[in-house]
Amino acid sequence: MTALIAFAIIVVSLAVQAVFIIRRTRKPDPATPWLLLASGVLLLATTVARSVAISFVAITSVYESLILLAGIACLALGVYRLRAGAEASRPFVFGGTFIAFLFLVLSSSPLAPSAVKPPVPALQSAWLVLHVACTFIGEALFACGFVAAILQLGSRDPARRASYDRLTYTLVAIGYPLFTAGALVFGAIWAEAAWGRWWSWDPKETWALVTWLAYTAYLHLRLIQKRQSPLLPLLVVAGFLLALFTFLGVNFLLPGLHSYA
Amino acid sequence: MGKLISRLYDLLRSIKLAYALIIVLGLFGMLGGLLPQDGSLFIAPTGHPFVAKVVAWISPGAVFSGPAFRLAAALFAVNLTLCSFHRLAGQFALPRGKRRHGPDVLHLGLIVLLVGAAWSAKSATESRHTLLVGEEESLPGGELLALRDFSFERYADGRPKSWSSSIDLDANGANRVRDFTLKVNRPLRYGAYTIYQTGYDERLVALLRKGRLGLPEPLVQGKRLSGDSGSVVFMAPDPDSGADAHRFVFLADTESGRKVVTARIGETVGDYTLQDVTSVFSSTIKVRRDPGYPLVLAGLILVALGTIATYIIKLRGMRS
Repeated sequence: MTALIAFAIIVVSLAVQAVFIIRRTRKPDPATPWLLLASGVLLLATTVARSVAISFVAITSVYESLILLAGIACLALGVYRLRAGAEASRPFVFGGTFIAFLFLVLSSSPLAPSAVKPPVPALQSAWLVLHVACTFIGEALFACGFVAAILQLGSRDPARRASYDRLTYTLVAIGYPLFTAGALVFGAIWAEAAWGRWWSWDPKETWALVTWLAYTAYLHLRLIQKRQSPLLPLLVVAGFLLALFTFLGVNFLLPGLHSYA
Repeated sequence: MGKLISRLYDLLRSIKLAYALIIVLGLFGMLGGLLPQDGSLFIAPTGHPFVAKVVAWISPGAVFSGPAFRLAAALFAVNLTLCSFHRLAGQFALPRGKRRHGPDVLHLGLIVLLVGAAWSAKSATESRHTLLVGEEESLPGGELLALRDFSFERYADGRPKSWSSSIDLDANGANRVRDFTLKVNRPLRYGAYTIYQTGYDERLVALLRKGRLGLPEPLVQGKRLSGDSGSVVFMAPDPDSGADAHRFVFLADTESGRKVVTARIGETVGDYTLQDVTSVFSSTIKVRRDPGYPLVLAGLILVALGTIATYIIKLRGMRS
Protein backbone atom coordinates (compact mmCIF):
# COMPACT_ATOMS: atom_id res chain seq x y z
CA MET A 1 0.00 0.00 0.00
CA THR A 2 2.82 2.43 0.93
CA ALA A 3 4.55 1.64 -2.37
CA LEU A 4 1.33 2.43 -4.23
CA ILE A 5 0.98 5.80 -2.45
CA ALA A 6 4.64 6.54 -3.22
CA PHE A 7 3.98 5.70 -6.88
CA ALA A 8 1.02 8.10 -6.94
CA ILE A 9 3.13 10.86 -5.35
CA ILE A 10 5.85 10.32 -7.97
CA VAL A 11 3.25 10.64 -10.74
CA VAL A 12 1.98 13.89 -9.18
CA SER A 13 5.58 15.12 -8.84
CA LEU A 14 6.25 14.37 -12.52
CA ALA A 15 3.12 16.31 -13.51
CA VAL A 16 4.06 19.32 -11.33
CA GLN A 17 7.61 19.32 -12.70
CA ALA A 18 6.35 19.04 -16.30
CA VAL A 19 4.10 22.08 -15.81
CA PHE A 20 6.97 24.17 -14.41
CA ILE A 21 9.33 23.07 -17.20
CA ILE A 22 6.78 23.87 -19.94
CA ARG A 23 5.89 27.27 -18.41
CA ARG A 24 9.61 28.12 -18.06
CA THR A 25 8.92 30.04 -14.86
CA ARG A 26 12.04 31.30 -13.08
CA LYS A 27 10.69 30.49 -9.63
CA PRO A 28 11.36 26.87 -8.61
CA ASP A 29 8.26 24.87 -7.75
CA PRO A 30 8.06 24.46 -3.98
CA ALA A 31 6.28 21.08 -4.01
CA THR A 32 8.77 18.84 -5.86
CA PRO A 33 11.45 18.38 -3.18
CA TRP A 34 8.83 17.48 -0.56
CA LEU A 35 6.97 15.17 -2.93
CA LEU A 36 10.23 13.39 -3.76
CA LEU A 37 11.26 13.12 -0.11
CA ALA A 38 7.80 11.83 0.84
CA SER A 39 7.85 9.15 -1.86
CA GLY A 40 11.41 8.18 -0.88
CA VAL A 41 10.43 7.84 2.78
CA LEU A 42 7.30 5.84 1.86
CA LEU A 43 9.33 3.47 -0.31
CA LEU A 44 11.83 2.92 2.49
CA ALA A 45 8.86 2.40 4.84
CA THR A 46 7.73 -0.38 2.46
CA THR A 47 11.12 -2.03 2.91
CA VAL A 48 10.85 -1.65 6.70
CA ALA A 49 7.31 -3.11 6.78
CA ARG A 50 8.35 -6.10 4.66
CA SER A 51 11.45 -6.56 6.83
CA VAL A 52 9.29 -6.72 9.96
CA ALA A 53 7.03 -9.30 8.27
CA ILE A 54 9.92 -11.66 7.42
CA SER A 55 12.17 -10.79 10.40
CA PHE A 56 15.01 -10.01 8.02
CA VAL A 57 16.06 -7.02 5.94
CA ALA A 58 13.75 -7.22 2.91
CA ILE A 59 16.18 -6.60 0.07
CA THR A 60 16.49 -10.09 -1.34
CA SER A 61 14.04 -10.14 -4.27
CA VAL A 62 13.88 -8.18 -7.54
CA TYR A 63 10.74 -6.35 -6.30
CA GLU A 64 12.40 -5.31 -3.04
CA SER A 65 15.55 -4.22 -4.87
CA LEU A 66 13.53 -2.05 -7.29
CA ILE A 67 11.67 -0.44 -4.38
CA LEU A 68 15.00 0.32 -2.69
CA LEU A 69 16.47 1.71 -5.92
CA ALA A 70 13.47 3.99 -6.51
CA GLY A 71 13.41 5.08 -2.86
CA ILE A 72 17.10 6.02 -2.77
CA ALA A 73 16.83 7.82 -6.13
CA CYS A 74 13.85 9.86 -4.85
CA LEU A 75 15.65 10.77 -1.63
CA ALA A 76 18.84 11.73 -3.51
CA LEU A 77 16.85 13.91 -5.93
CA GLY A 78 14.84 15.50 -3.10
CA VAL A 79 18.00 16.35 -1.14
CA TYR A 80 19.66 17.73 -4.31
CA ARG A 81 16.61 19.85 -5.10
CA LEU A 82 16.46 21.23 -1.52
CA ARG A 83 20.16 22.01 -1.39
CA ALA A 84 20.48 23.48 -4.87
CA GLY A 85 17.24 25.51 -4.62
CA ALA A 86 16.76 27.77 -7.63
CA GLU A 87 20.08 26.57 -9.07
CA ALA A 88 18.82 22.99 -9.39
CA SER A 89 18.57 21.61 -12.91
CA ARG A 90 14.90 20.98 -13.68
CA PRO A 91 15.51 18.53 -16.55
CA PHE A 92 17.85 16.56 -14.27
CA VAL A 93 15.31 16.29 -11.44
CA PHE A 94 12.57 15.44 -13.94
CA GLY A 95 14.75 12.77 -15.63
CA GLY A 96 15.74 11.27 -12.27
CA THR A 97 12.11 11.20 -11.12
CA PHE A 98 11.16 9.51 -14.39
CA ILE A 99 13.80 6.82 -13.80
CA ALA A 100 12.38 6.23 -10.28
CA PHE A 101 8.92 6.04 -11.88
CA LEU A 102 10.23 3.41 -14.37
CA PHE A 103 11.73 1.36 -11.50
CA LEU A 104 8.31 1.33 -9.83
CA VAL A 105 6.53 0.43 -13.08
CA LEU A 106 8.96 -2.47 -13.44
CA SER A 107 8.36 -3.50 -9.81
CA SER A 108 4.66 -3.94 -10.61
CA SER A 109 5.36 -6.16 -13.64
CA PRO A 110 5.28 -9.99 -13.57
CA LEU A 111 9.09 -9.92 -13.75
CA ALA A 112 9.14 -8.80 -10.11
CA PRO A 113 6.72 -10.83 -7.98
CA SER A 114 5.82 -8.85 -4.87
CA ALA A 115 4.99 -11.76 -2.55
CA VAL A 116 6.62 -11.34 0.86
CA LYS A 117 8.96 -14.29 1.27
CA PRO A 118 11.54 -14.91 3.98
CA PRO A 119 15.05 -15.61 2.66
CA VAL A 120 16.53 -19.04 1.91
CA PRO A 121 19.57 -20.00 4.06
CA ALA A 122 22.20 -18.67 1.62
CA LEU A 123 20.70 -15.18 1.96
CA GLN A 124 20.51 -15.13 5.75
CA SER A 125 23.66 -13.11 6.33
CA ALA A 126 24.59 -9.64 7.57
CA TRP A 127 27.17 -9.50 4.76
CA LEU A 128 24.36 -9.93 2.24
CA VAL A 129 22.53 -6.94 3.73
CA LEU A 130 25.65 -4.79 3.40
CA HIS A 131 26.34 -6.20 -0.08
CA VAL A 132 22.87 -5.47 -1.46
CA ALA A 133 22.24 -2.19 0.39
CA CYS A 134 25.56 -0.56 -0.62
CA THR A 135 25.29 -1.87 -4.19
CA PHE A 136 21.79 -0.48 -4.72
CA ILE A 137 22.50 2.86 -3.05
CA GLY A 138 25.49 3.13 -5.42
CA GLU A 139 23.35 2.10 -8.41
CA ALA A 140 20.60 4.61 -7.51
CA LEU A 141 23.25 7.35 -7.64
CA PHE A 142 24.54 5.90 -10.93
CA ALA A 143 20.94 6.16 -12.25
CA CYS A 144 20.91 9.88 -11.39
CA GLY A 145 24.40 10.17 -12.92
CA PHE A 146 23.04 8.54 -16.08
CA VAL A 147 20.41 11.29 -16.39
CA ALA A 148 23.02 14.02 -15.82
CA ALA A 149 25.33 12.39 -18.41
CA ILE A 150 22.53 12.27 -21.02
CA LEU A 151 21.80 15.96 -20.37
CA GLN A 152 25.52 16.66 -20.66
CA LEU A 153 25.60 14.90 -24.04
CA GLY A 154 22.53 16.77 -25.26
CA SER A 155 23.60 20.21 -24.06
CA ARG A 156 25.18 22.70 -26.51
CA ASP A 157 25.88 25.49 -24.03
CA PRO A 158 29.45 24.99 -22.66
CA ALA A 159 28.57 26.45 -19.24
CA ARG A 160 25.59 24.14 -18.89
CA ARG A 161 27.65 21.19 -20.14
CA ALA A 162 30.30 21.96 -17.51
CA SER A 163 27.60 22.15 -14.86
CA TYR A 164 26.20 18.74 -15.91
CA ASP A 165 29.74 17.34 -16.01
CA ARG A 166 30.24 18.45 -12.41
CA LEU A 167 26.91 16.91 -11.41
CA THR A 168 27.68 13.63 -13.21
CA TYR A 169 31.10 13.43 -11.58
CA THR A 170 29.71 14.21 -8.10
CA LEU A 171 27.09 11.45 -8.41
CA VAL A 172 29.62 8.91 -9.72
CA ALA A 173 32.15 9.93 -7.07
CA ILE A 174 29.60 9.22 -4.31
CA GLY A 175 28.17 6.10 -5.96
CA TYR A 176 31.49 4.50 -6.93
CA PRO A 177 32.88 3.88 -3.40
CA LEU A 178 29.47 2.53 -2.32
CA PHE A 179 29.24 0.27 -5.35
CA THR A 180 32.86 -0.88 -4.87
CA ALA A 181 32.26 -1.71 -1.22
CA GLY A 182 28.85 -3.30 -1.86
CA ALA A 183 29.16 -5.20 -5.11
CA LEU A 184 32.79 -6.26 -4.92
CA VAL A 185 34.10 -6.14 -1.34
CA PHE A 186 31.06 -7.19 0.75
CA GLY A 187 29.92 -9.46 -2.10
CA ALA A 188 33.23 -11.33 -2.06
CA ILE A 189 33.23 -11.63 1.74
CA TRP A 190 29.64 -12.95 1.72
CA ALA A 191 30.38 -15.38 -1.13
CA GLU A 192 33.34 -16.77 0.82
CA ALA A 193 31.18 -17.36 3.91
CA ALA A 194 28.16 -18.74 2.02
CA TRP A 195 29.63 -20.72 -0.87
CA GLY A 196 33.24 -21.18 0.18
CA ARG A 197 34.60 -19.21 -2.76
CA TRP A 198 35.12 -15.46 -2.74
CA TRP A 199 35.02 -15.27 -6.53
CA SER A 200 33.48 -17.82 -8.93
CA TRP A 201 33.27 -15.93 -12.27
CA ASP A 202 29.51 -16.34 -11.91
CA PRO A 203 27.68 -14.19 -14.57
CA LYS A 204 26.41 -11.72 -11.92
CA GLU A 205 29.90 -11.32 -10.44
CA THR A 206 31.46 -10.94 -13.87
CA TRP A 207 28.95 -8.31 -15.01
CA ALA A 208 29.27 -6.43 -11.71
CA LEU A 209 33.02 -6.35 -12.36
CA VAL A 210 32.41 -5.08 -15.92
CA THR A 211 30.15 -2.33 -14.51
CA TRP A 212 32.83 -1.40 -11.98
CA LEU A 213 35.46 -1.33 -14.75
CA ALA A 214 33.25 1.02 -16.84
CA TYR A 215 33.05 3.54 -13.97
CA THR A 216 36.75 2.99 -13.19
CA ALA A 217 37.50 3.79 -16.84
CA TYR A 218 35.40 6.98 -16.53
CA LEU A 219 37.26 8.12 -13.43
CA HIS A 220 40.65 7.43 -15.06
CA LEU A 221 39.64 9.05 -18.33
CA ARG A 222 38.87 12.26 -16.43
CA LEU A 223 42.55 12.38 -15.49
CA ILE A 224 43.74 12.26 -19.12
CA GLN A 225 40.88 13.79 -21.19
CA LYS A 226 39.47 17.28 -21.37
CA ARG A 227 36.14 17.75 -19.60
CA GLN A 228 34.44 18.56 -22.94
CA SER A 229 35.12 15.09 -24.32
CA PRO A 230 31.82 13.31 -25.10
CA LEU A 231 33.52 10.04 -24.19
CA LEU A 232 33.19 10.91 -20.49
CA PRO A 233 29.36 11.09 -20.32
CA LEU A 234 29.17 8.19 -22.79
CA LEU A 235 31.08 6.00 -20.34
CA VAL A 236 28.66 6.96 -17.55
CA VAL A 237 25.69 6.10 -19.80
CA ALA A 238 27.34 2.77 -20.69
CA GLY A 239 28.13 2.15 -17.00
CA PHE A 240 24.49 2.52 -15.98
CA LEU A 241 23.26 0.33 -18.86
CA LEU A 242 25.78 -2.29 -17.72
CA ALA A 243 24.53 -1.91 -14.12
CA LEU A 244 20.96 -2.46 -15.36
CA PHE A 245 22.05 -5.53 -17.33
CA THR A 246 23.88 -6.85 -14.26
CA PHE A 247 20.76 -6.37 -12.16
CA LEU A 248 17.98 -7.46 -14.53
CA GLY A 249 19.51 -8.93 -17.70
CA VAL A 250 21.70 -11.46 -15.88
CA ASN A 251 18.74 -12.57 -13.72
CA PHE A 252 16.53 -13.38 -16.66
CA LEU A 253 19.04 -14.40 -19.32
CA LEU A 254 22.09 -15.96 -17.68
CA PRO A 255 21.75 -18.71 -15.06
CA GLY A 256 24.16 -18.67 -12.14
CA LEU A 257 24.65 -18.61 -8.39
CA HIS A 258 22.62 -15.36 -8.09
CA SER A 259 19.46 -16.85 -9.62
CA TYR A 260 17.36 -15.62 -6.64
CA ALA A 261 18.67 -12.00 -6.76
CA MET B 1 69.62 2.06 -23.83
CA GLY B 2 68.84 4.14 -20.76
CA LYS B 3 66.43 6.24 -22.81
CA LEU B 4 64.67 3.13 -24.06
CA ILE B 5 64.24 1.77 -20.54
CA SER B 6 62.99 5.17 -19.40
CA ARG B 7 60.45 5.24 -22.25
CA LEU B 8 59.34 1.71 -21.49
CA TYR B 9 58.95 2.61 -17.81
CA ASP B 10 56.90 5.70 -18.71
CA LEU B 11 54.68 3.61 -20.99
CA LEU B 12 54.18 0.85 -18.44
CA ARG B 13 53.25 3.27 -15.65
CA SER B 14 51.06 5.57 -17.75
CA ILE B 15 47.40 6.25 -16.97
CA LYS B 16 46.66 5.89 -20.70
CA LEU B 17 47.84 2.28 -20.57
CA ALA B 18 45.79 1.79 -17.37
CA TYR B 19 42.72 3.15 -19.17
CA ALA B 20 43.32 0.91 -22.22
CA LEU B 21 43.80 -2.16 -20.03
CA ILE B 22 40.65 -1.39 -18.01
CA ILE B 23 38.70 -1.30 -21.28
CA VAL B 24 40.35 -4.53 -22.51
CA LEU B 25 39.62 -6.32 -19.21
CA GLY B 26 36.03 -5.03 -19.40
CA LEU B 27 35.66 -6.46 -22.92
CA PHE B 28 37.04 -9.82 -21.74
CA GLY B 29 34.56 -9.66 -18.87
CA MET B 30 31.67 -9.06 -21.28
CA LEU B 31 32.77 -11.97 -23.46
CA GLY B 32 33.18 -14.31 -20.49
CA GLY B 33 29.94 -13.05 -18.96
CA LEU B 34 27.93 -13.82 -22.08
CA LEU B 35 29.45 -17.11 -23.21
CA PRO B 36 29.18 -20.26 -21.09
CA GLN B 37 32.44 -20.80 -19.19
CA ASP B 38 31.76 -24.32 -17.96
CA GLY B 39 33.62 -26.09 -20.79
CA SER B 40 30.43 -26.73 -22.79
CA LEU B 41 31.38 -24.24 -25.51
CA PHE B 42 33.56 -25.57 -28.32
CA ILE B 43 34.53 -23.51 -31.33
CA ALA B 44 36.04 -25.59 -34.12
CA PRO B 45 39.25 -24.04 -35.54
CA THR B 46 38.03 -23.08 -39.02
CA GLY B 47 38.81 -20.28 -41.46
CA HIS B 48 42.12 -18.45 -41.75
CA PRO B 49 44.87 -19.94 -39.54
CA PHE B 50 45.55 -16.50 -38.01
CA VAL B 51 41.89 -16.10 -37.00
CA ALA B 52 41.89 -19.63 -35.57
CA LYS B 53 45.04 -18.75 -33.57
CA VAL B 54 43.47 -15.55 -32.21
CA VAL B 55 40.31 -17.44 -31.24
CA ALA B 56 42.40 -20.10 -29.50
CA TRP B 57 44.38 -17.34 -27.74
CA ILE B 58 41.20 -15.68 -26.46
CA SER B 59 39.68 -19.10 -25.52
CA PRO B 60 35.98 -18.07 -25.70
CA GLY B 61 34.92 -21.13 -23.67
CA ALA B 62 37.38 -20.41 -20.85
CA VAL B 63 38.11 -16.69 -21.19
CA PHE B 64 39.35 -16.11 -17.64
CA SER B 65 41.91 -18.91 -17.75
CA GLY B 66 42.93 -18.21 -21.35
CA PRO B 67 46.34 -16.74 -22.30
CA ALA B 68 44.89 -13.45 -23.64
CA PHE B 69 43.06 -12.55 -20.41
CA ARG B 70 46.03 -13.63 -18.30
CA LEU B 71 48.37 -11.47 -20.34
CA ALA B 72 46.05 -8.46 -20.01
CA ALA B 73 45.69 -9.08 -16.24
CA ALA B 74 49.48 -9.45 -15.84
CA LEU B 75 50.10 -6.22 -17.79
CA PHE B 76 47.47 -4.49 -15.65
CA ALA B 77 49.23 -5.72 -12.50
CA VAL B 78 52.58 -4.36 -13.78
CA ASN B 79 50.99 -1.03 -14.75
CA LEU B 80 49.21 -0.76 -11.42
CA THR B 81 52.36 -1.55 -9.43
CA LEU B 82 54.58 0.90 -11.33
CA CYS B 83 51.89 3.59 -11.33
CA SER B 84 51.36 3.15 -7.58
CA PHE B 85 55.06 3.40 -6.72
CA HIS B 86 55.47 6.39 -9.01
CA ARG B 87 52.47 8.13 -7.47
CA LEU B 88 53.56 7.31 -3.93
CA ALA B 89 57.03 8.76 -4.59
CA GLY B 90 55.35 11.90 -5.97
CA GLN B 91 53.16 12.21 -2.88
CA PHE B 92 56.13 11.94 -0.52
CA ALA B 93 57.76 14.79 -2.41
CA LEU B 94 54.81 17.03 -1.49
CA PRO B 95 54.46 18.89 1.83
CA ARG B 96 52.73 16.77 4.47
CA GLY B 97 49.43 18.70 4.39
CA LYS B 98 49.05 18.36 0.62
CA ARG B 99 49.55 14.61 0.40
CA ARG B 100 46.56 12.49 -0.72
CA HIS B 101 47.05 8.83 0.08
CA GLY B 102 43.55 7.55 -0.74
CA PRO B 103 44.49 6.40 -4.26
CA ASP B 104 47.71 4.84 -2.87
CA VAL B 105 45.71 2.76 -0.38
CA LEU B 106 43.24 1.80 -3.15
CA HIS B 107 46.03 0.81 -5.54
CA LEU B 108 47.91 -1.07 -2.82
CA GLY B 109 44.67 -2.91 -2.03
CA LEU B 110 44.28 -3.89 -5.68
CA ILE B 111 47.89 -5.15 -5.82
CA VAL B 112 47.43 -7.18 -2.63
CA LEU B 113 44.12 -8.48 -4.02
CA LEU B 114 45.74 -9.55 -7.31
CA VAL B 115 48.60 -11.31 -5.49
CA GLY B 116 46.11 -13.00 -3.14
CA ALA B 117 43.88 -14.01 -6.06
CA ALA B 118 46.83 -15.54 -7.95
CA TRP B 119 47.99 -17.38 -4.82
CA SER B 120 44.45 -18.52 -4.09
CA ALA B 121 43.95 -19.79 -7.66
CA LYS B 122 47.24 -21.69 -7.52
CA SER B 123 47.13 -23.21 -4.06
CA ALA B 124 43.50 -23.56 -2.91
CA THR B 125 42.23 -27.10 -2.53
CA GLU B 126 38.78 -28.35 -1.68
CA SER B 127 36.94 -31.59 -1.15
CA ARG B 128 33.27 -32.44 -0.71
CA HIS B 129 31.95 -34.96 1.78
CA THR B 130 28.42 -36.33 1.78
CA LEU B 131 27.70 -37.83 5.18
CA LEU B 132 24.77 -39.47 6.91
CA VAL B 133 24.33 -39.05 10.65
CA GLY B 134 26.93 -41.19 12.42
CA GLU B 135 29.26 -41.38 9.44
CA GLU B 136 32.79 -39.99 9.36
CA GLU B 137 35.36 -39.28 6.67
CA SER B 138 39.05 -38.44 6.60
CA LEU B 139 40.17 -35.02 5.43
CA PRO B 140 43.24 -34.59 3.20
CA GLY B 141 45.41 -33.77 6.24
CA GLY B 142 44.39 -36.93 8.08
CA GLU B 143 41.81 -35.26 10.36
CA LEU B 144 38.51 -37.04 10.90
CA LEU B 145 35.23 -35.25 10.17
CA ALA B 146 32.15 -36.83 11.77
CA LEU B 147 28.48 -35.91 11.39
CA ARG B 148 26.74 -36.19 14.78
CA ASP B 149 23.35 -34.80 13.77
CA PHE B 150 21.55 -33.05 10.95
CA SER B 151 18.45 -30.88 11.07
CA PHE B 152 16.35 -29.45 8.29
CA GLU B 153 13.45 -26.99 8.33
CA ARG B 154 11.13 -25.80 5.59
CA TYR B 155 8.97 -22.68 5.28
CA ALA B 156 5.22 -23.21 4.82
CA ASP B 157 5.66 -22.75 1.04
CA GLY B 158 8.14 -25.65 0.89
CA ARG B 159 11.33 -23.62 0.44
CA PRO B 160 14.23 -24.52 2.74
CA LYS B 161 14.34 -22.36 5.89
CA SER B 162 17.54 -23.72 7.37
CA TRP B 163 19.68 -26.78 7.46
CA SER B 164 22.52 -27.45 9.81
CA SER B 165 24.96 -30.17 10.70
CA SER B 166 26.38 -30.89 14.09
CA ILE B 167 29.97 -31.98 13.48
CA ASP B 168 33.04 -33.25 15.32
CA LEU B 169 36.58 -32.83 14.11
CA ASP B 170 39.32 -35.11 15.40
CA ALA B 171 43.00 -34.52 14.74
CA ASN B 172 46.00 -36.53 15.98
CA GLY B 173 43.70 -38.78 17.98
CA ALA B 174 42.24 -35.88 20.00
CA ASN B 175 38.80 -34.33 19.70
CA ARG B 176 39.62 -30.81 18.46
CA VAL B 177 36.11 -29.56 17.74
CA ARG B 178 33.04 -31.04 19.35
CA ASP B 179 29.41 -30.56 18.41
CA PHE B 180 29.92 -27.49 16.22
CA THR B 181 26.71 -26.36 14.50
CA LEU B 182 27.64 -25.87 10.88
CA LYS B 183 25.20 -23.75 8.86
CA VAL B 184 25.10 -22.00 5.50
CA ASN B 185 26.84 -18.65 6.13
CA ARG B 186 28.36 -20.01 9.36
CA PRO B 187 31.47 -21.97 8.39
CA LEU B 188 33.90 -23.56 10.83
CA ARG B 189 37.43 -22.19 10.57
CA TYR B 190 39.89 -24.69 11.95
CA GLY B 191 43.63 -24.26 11.32
CA ALA B 192 44.16 -24.01 7.58
CA TYR B 193 40.71 -25.41 6.84
CA THR B 194 37.38 -23.72 6.43
CA ILE B 195 34.46 -26.14 6.58
CA TYR B 196 31.19 -25.14 4.91
CA GLN B 197 27.66 -26.46 4.97
CA THR B 198 26.97 -26.50 1.24
CA GLY B 199 24.06 -28.82 0.60
CA TYR B 200 21.81 -31.64 1.57
CA ASP B 201 20.15 -34.54 -0.09
CA GLU B 202 17.18 -36.68 0.79
CA ARG B 203 18.08 -40.34 0.41
CA LEU B 204 15.91 -43.45 0.68
CA VAL B 205 16.53 -46.02 3.38
CA ALA B 206 15.20 -49.58 3.04
CA LEU B 207 14.53 -51.50 6.23
CA LEU B 208 15.43 -55.15 5.60
CA ARG B 209 14.75 -58.02 8.00
CA LYS B 210 16.51 -61.35 7.87
CA GLY B 211 14.14 -64.20 8.63
CA ARG B 212 11.11 -63.87 10.91
CA LEU B 213 13.01 -63.05 14.08
CA GLY B 214 15.76 -60.85 12.68
CA LEU B 215 16.01 -57.19 13.61
CA PRO B 216 15.35 -54.66 10.82
CA GLU B 217 18.57 -53.37 9.31
CA PRO B 218 18.68 -49.98 7.51
CA LEU B 219 20.17 -49.88 4.03
CA VAL B 220 20.74 -46.45 2.49
CA GLN B 221 20.22 -46.06 -1.26
CA GLY B 222 23.48 -46.79 -3.07
CA LYS B 223 25.00 -48.75 -0.15
CA ARG B 224 25.58 -52.48 0.39
CA LEU B 225 24.34 -54.71 3.22
CA SER B 226 26.46 -57.83 3.63
CA GLY B 227 25.36 -60.99 5.40
CA ASP B 228 26.70 -64.56 5.86
CA SER B 229 25.39 -65.85 2.57
CA GLY B 230 25.58 -62.78 0.32
CA SER B 231 24.88 -59.10 0.06
CA VAL B 232 22.23 -56.65 -1.13
CA VAL B 233 22.68 -53.23 -2.75
CA PHE B 234 19.73 -50.81 -2.63
CA MET B 235 19.79 -49.25 -6.09
CA ALA B 236 16.74 -47.02 -6.65
CA PRO B 237 12.94 -46.79 -6.72
CA ASP B 238 11.57 -48.62 -9.76
CA PRO B 239 10.70 -45.86 -12.26
CA ASP B 240 8.06 -48.09 -13.88
CA SER B 241 6.08 -48.72 -10.69
CA GLY B 242 2.76 -46.90 -10.34
CA ALA B 243 2.05 -44.17 -7.82
CA ASP B 244 0.05 -46.51 -5.56
CA ALA B 245 2.33 -49.58 -5.81
CA HIS B 246 5.94 -48.53 -5.03
CA ARG B 247 8.56 -51.00 -6.11
CA PHE B 248 12.27 -50.74 -5.40
CA VAL B 249 15.24 -52.14 -7.28
CA PHE B 250 17.98 -54.10 -5.50
CA LEU B 251 21.08 -55.95 -6.62
CA ALA B 252 21.25 -59.21 -4.71
CA ASP B 253 24.38 -61.36 -4.47
CA THR B 254 23.40 -64.82 -3.22
CA GLU B 255 24.91 -68.32 -3.44
CA SER B 256 22.93 -68.87 -6.64
CA GLY B 257 24.53 -65.81 -8.28
CA ARG B 258 23.94 -62.10 -8.83
CA LYS B 259 20.56 -60.79 -9.94
CA VAL B 260 18.53 -57.60 -10.06
CA VAL B 261 15.46 -57.88 -7.84
CA THR B 262 12.40 -55.64 -7.88
CA ALA B 263 10.43 -55.74 -4.64
CA ARG B 264 7.41 -54.18 -2.95
CA ILE B 265 7.14 -53.81 0.83
CA GLY B 266 6.69 -57.28 2.32
CA GLU B 267 8.43 -59.05 -0.56
CA THR B 268 11.75 -60.90 -0.50
CA VAL B 269 15.13 -59.50 -1.52
CA GLY B 270 17.80 -62.23 -1.40
CA ASP B 271 17.87 -63.50 2.17
CA TYR B 272 15.94 -60.50 3.45
CA THR B 273 12.36 -59.23 3.54
CA LEU B 274 11.69 -55.60 2.63
CA GLN B 275 9.89 -54.26 5.69
CA ASP B 276 9.67 -50.52 4.93
CA VAL B 277 11.23 -47.68 2.95
CA THR B 278 11.74 -44.28 4.54
CA SER B 279 13.94 -41.30 3.76
CA VAL B 280 16.87 -39.72 5.55
CA PHE B 281 18.83 -36.52 4.96
CA SER B 282 22.47 -36.54 4.04
CA SER B 283 24.64 -33.48 4.60
CA THR B 284 27.08 -32.19 2.00
CA ILE B 285 30.06 -30.52 3.61
CA LYS B 286 32.80 -28.70 1.73
CA VAL B 287 36.29 -28.55 3.18
CA ARG B 288 38.46 -25.84 1.68
CA ARG B 289 42.04 -24.84 2.26
CA ASP B 290 42.82 -21.44 0.75
CA PRO B 291 46.11 -19.92 1.96
CA GLY B 292 45.58 -16.92 -0.36
CA TYR B 293 42.28 -15.81 1.21
CA PRO B 294 43.71 -13.75 4.13
CA LEU B 295 45.64 -11.73 1.54
CA VAL B 296 42.50 -11.37 -0.60
CA LEU B 297 40.57 -10.17 2.45
CA ALA B 298 43.28 -7.65 3.33
CA GLY B 299 43.22 -6.45 -0.30
CA LEU B 300 39.44 -6.08 -0.28
CA ILE B 301 39.49 -4.04 2.93
CA LEU B 302 42.22 -1.76 1.55
CA VAL B 303 40.28 -1.31 -1.71
CA ALA B 304 37.13 -0.30 0.20
CA LEU B 305 38.98 2.09 2.52
CA GLY B 306 41.10 3.53 -0.31
CA THR B 307 38.07 4.18 -2.54
CA ILE B 308 36.14 5.89 0.24
CA ALA B 309 39.17 8.01 1.29
CA THR B 310 39.89 9.00 -2.34
CA TYR B 311 36.41 10.27 -3.15
CA ILE B 312 35.61 11.84 0.21
CA ILE B 313 38.69 14.03 -0.23
CA LYS B 314 37.88 14.75 -3.90
CA LEU B 315 34.29 15.72 -3.09
CA ARG B 316 35.45 17.93 -0.20
CA GLY B 317 37.90 19.57 -2.60
CA MET B 318 35.08 20.22 -5.09
CA ARG B 319 32.87 21.80 -2.41
CA SER B 320 35.61 24.09 -1.16
